[in-house]
Amino acid sequence: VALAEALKPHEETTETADETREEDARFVERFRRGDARAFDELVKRYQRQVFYLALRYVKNDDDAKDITQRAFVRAFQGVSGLRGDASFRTWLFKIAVNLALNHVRDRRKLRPVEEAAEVGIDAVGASRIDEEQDRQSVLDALDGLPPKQRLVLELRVFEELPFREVAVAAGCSENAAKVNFHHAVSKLKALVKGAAGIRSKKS
Amino acid sequence: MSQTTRTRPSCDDLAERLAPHAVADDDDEVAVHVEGCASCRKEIGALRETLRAVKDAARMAPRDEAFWTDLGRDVRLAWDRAEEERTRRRWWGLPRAVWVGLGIAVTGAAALLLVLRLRGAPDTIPPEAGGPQSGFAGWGGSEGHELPMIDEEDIEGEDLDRVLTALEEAQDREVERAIRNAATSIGIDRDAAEALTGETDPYETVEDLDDDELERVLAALAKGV
Repeated sequence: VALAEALKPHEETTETADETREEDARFVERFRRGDARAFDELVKRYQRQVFYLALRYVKNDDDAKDITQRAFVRAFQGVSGLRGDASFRTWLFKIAVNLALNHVRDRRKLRPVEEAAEVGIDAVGASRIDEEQDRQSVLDALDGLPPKQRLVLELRVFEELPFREVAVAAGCSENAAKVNFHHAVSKLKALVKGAAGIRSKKS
Repeated sequence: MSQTTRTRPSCDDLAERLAPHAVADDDDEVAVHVEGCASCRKEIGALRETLRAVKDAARMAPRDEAFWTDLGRDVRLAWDRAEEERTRRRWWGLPRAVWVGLGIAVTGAAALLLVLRLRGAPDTIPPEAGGPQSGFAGWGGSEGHELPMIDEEDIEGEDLDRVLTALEEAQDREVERAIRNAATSIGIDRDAAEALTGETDPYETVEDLDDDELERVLAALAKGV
């Protein structure tokens, strides 16, 4: 029970999520009316989450900063198209993830074949897994998840969005979001278990 | 007497709901099942262990406050830049319509300018050199009609070139059309009229006319044909 409690992210109650959305909506409305402070307020609210979300994909501070900037710019430029009942936060995260994915895709296209091969060798070299390699393996596995599974997992575990909002960001039903989450965690579990097995053999 | 019995969900039935429950602890049906099922209890424990490992692995180094202040400032700068760019584009987007309007607006002015330009020639070019005849002398004063001016401060860099080119082209097209209409209206045949308004600069084309043709074209232009 203690583990479950420790692990459990801060779960937003429906009321809290709704309050957040309503507050955001008020800032958005003020921004639409030309109040620059509303812009700054929303940036201050979400810049950390957007930055870390982007950083998980791009692994580089500068790129994550760039994506954060672009995500906010796009969100604010398109804010007039945001439906009244839509969540600004969910929308912003979705934009950030799309930008990050595009960035990663472009970077992969540019990455030399040798570098990719080297990464492969590192991952295979699991016979000498130490703590850092375990960590890296988990991150690699996270990278290797299908985009929707990864998005659902990222938003639920790291950004602590309720499944309802995760579903909106992922463009699927809440139930589908949960199923994607299940598959993502199952895949990661196999890997973590594998790494732990190798470590115990070693010891 | 029939009684509807609700079958209790099996482990397989609930398999896909374990992970969501592991993170949210909000599925009562799963909670009840896990309570009485050792294997699912074990499974949910493993899923939580996995999620914790993932969270640990992905834990990011915390940044100091200055980092966020800078990031906030950079976002603001990016927004300001994007807005400037958007304003510039909007200005250029609107102008498509505006340019058409401007093109139409300069029609008369351009034709008139042409007339005035050629009309001033007798003062400087002697008739024996092929300049226009004195028949043009009575056509109004020397002050021309000013073309609509664009404040250069409103336009930046390459857009200014595009604007000027667009204006120039619009003006040439209008002059061409005016000349073609004028030439046709005074009976210069179609081929000749086409030749007048072909690839060449309309101003040069006008200068290629013989004196008689030129006089008639200008007269037609002056009538506003």
